[in-house]
Amino acid sequence: MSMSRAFCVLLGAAALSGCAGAPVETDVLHRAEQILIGSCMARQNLKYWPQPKSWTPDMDLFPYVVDDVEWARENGYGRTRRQELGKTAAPSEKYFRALPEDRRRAWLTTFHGDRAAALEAELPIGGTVGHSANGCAAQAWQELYGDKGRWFKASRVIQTLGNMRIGQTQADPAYRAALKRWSECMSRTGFSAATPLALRKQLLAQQGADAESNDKKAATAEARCAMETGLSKTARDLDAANAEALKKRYPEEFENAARLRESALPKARALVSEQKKGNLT
Amino acid sequence: MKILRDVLLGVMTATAVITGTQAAAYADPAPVPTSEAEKPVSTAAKPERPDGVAKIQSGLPVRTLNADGNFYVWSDDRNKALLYPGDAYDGWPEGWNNRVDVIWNNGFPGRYDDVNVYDYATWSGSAYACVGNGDYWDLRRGDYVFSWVNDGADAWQRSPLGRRVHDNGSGHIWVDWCGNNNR
Repeated sequence: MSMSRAFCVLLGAAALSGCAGAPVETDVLHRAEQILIGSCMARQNLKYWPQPKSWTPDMDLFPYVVDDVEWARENGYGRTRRQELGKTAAPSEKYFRALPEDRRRAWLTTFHGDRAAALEAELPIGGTVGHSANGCAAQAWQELYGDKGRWFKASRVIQTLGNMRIGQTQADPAYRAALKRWSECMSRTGFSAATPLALRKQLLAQQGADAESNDKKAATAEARCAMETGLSKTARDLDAANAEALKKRYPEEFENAARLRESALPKARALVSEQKKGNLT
Repeated sequence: MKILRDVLLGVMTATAVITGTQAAAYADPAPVPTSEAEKPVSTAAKPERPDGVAKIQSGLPVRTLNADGNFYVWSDDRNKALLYPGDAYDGWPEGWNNRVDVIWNNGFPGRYDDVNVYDYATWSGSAYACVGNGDYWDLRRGDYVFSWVNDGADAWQRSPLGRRVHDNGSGHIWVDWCGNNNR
């Protein structure tokens, strides 16, 4: 669902890099989109709960490696936040699961559309991704951005470029060398892990009373090793360089997305404001 | 290419109409085969999973919402679409390796609403592509490629990275975001 937004902020490169826009702006746009989807679903007598922008905010903050010792000591791998987000999802999941089969299908069709009309986006990495044009999601894009087709293309392209940035960084020999040093450092602290993500997944899969304190120990060790071995700096430097290179390679794509976001912001702010006042459901 | 795309879209649209009111109301899940599509290329048998390489253990709860949502794959060879229902949060139809031409993520939006499609089965280290919630890919059009692989030392199949997804898909799993989500 999301890319590495907060990492972009940490880099201070949100406006320039492959990141998906400044966080405050994307927050407002996301909330407005959710309001519009909810209104559309309600018109069909279907319930919809707004979705968070990300289910894994820890990954947004640290897409490569947790490298903030203080954050790690306090949050571990973000287990508590993930659990909080999970709780927000419970009502919608319960509602959907309770629907009869035909109503579930109808709900999905109302939300996604029926594919009779298609939006398409050619991806810079290859392929043409498609999406229905007549569901509530697409209708929200239309209302917010004024052109659902243009927004679909822009959003999928920018998302792909963001993922390309991370993939390029991880494939870089300098990153892989630093990763090896990091793994050796972790071994010396008693943690066996080939990659930070593998360790994070392993820890987050654990349950029980000690789970969170174990998270914090591992994440703190991860952050210290990231700093000591240079993995943190290597990842951030490469990420910034790759972001800049992608921006130079795909200037129109980034500018197009930025224009669409900018033009949608006034409406988005108004929608969010109206909802805060209680004028919208 | 443009003509082919228009034809494909036209067939899609026409089928939605032909299949009648139920399709209009509930979105016929079956992607549409087309005679214009290239015939699948015969591919060599995929290697066995090496000793010591673990199958991915998803963090997905046994019974989740997206298990009630729908992930579809279509094969020209099999001439039908297949729905993953119930608790099938991962897997691939038996005998469908290297035969899938269209995929559609029609899952419920929420946790675990994106889908990784793997070049090999869902083994740690296998290359994958990710289909976002609500998106569909007609793999016969363009060069969809496996764009991700584990970044760790156990990425034993780095070579499929960049290989076409068309007729190479062999596994799927629900994930909570598209990107570096494997291990």
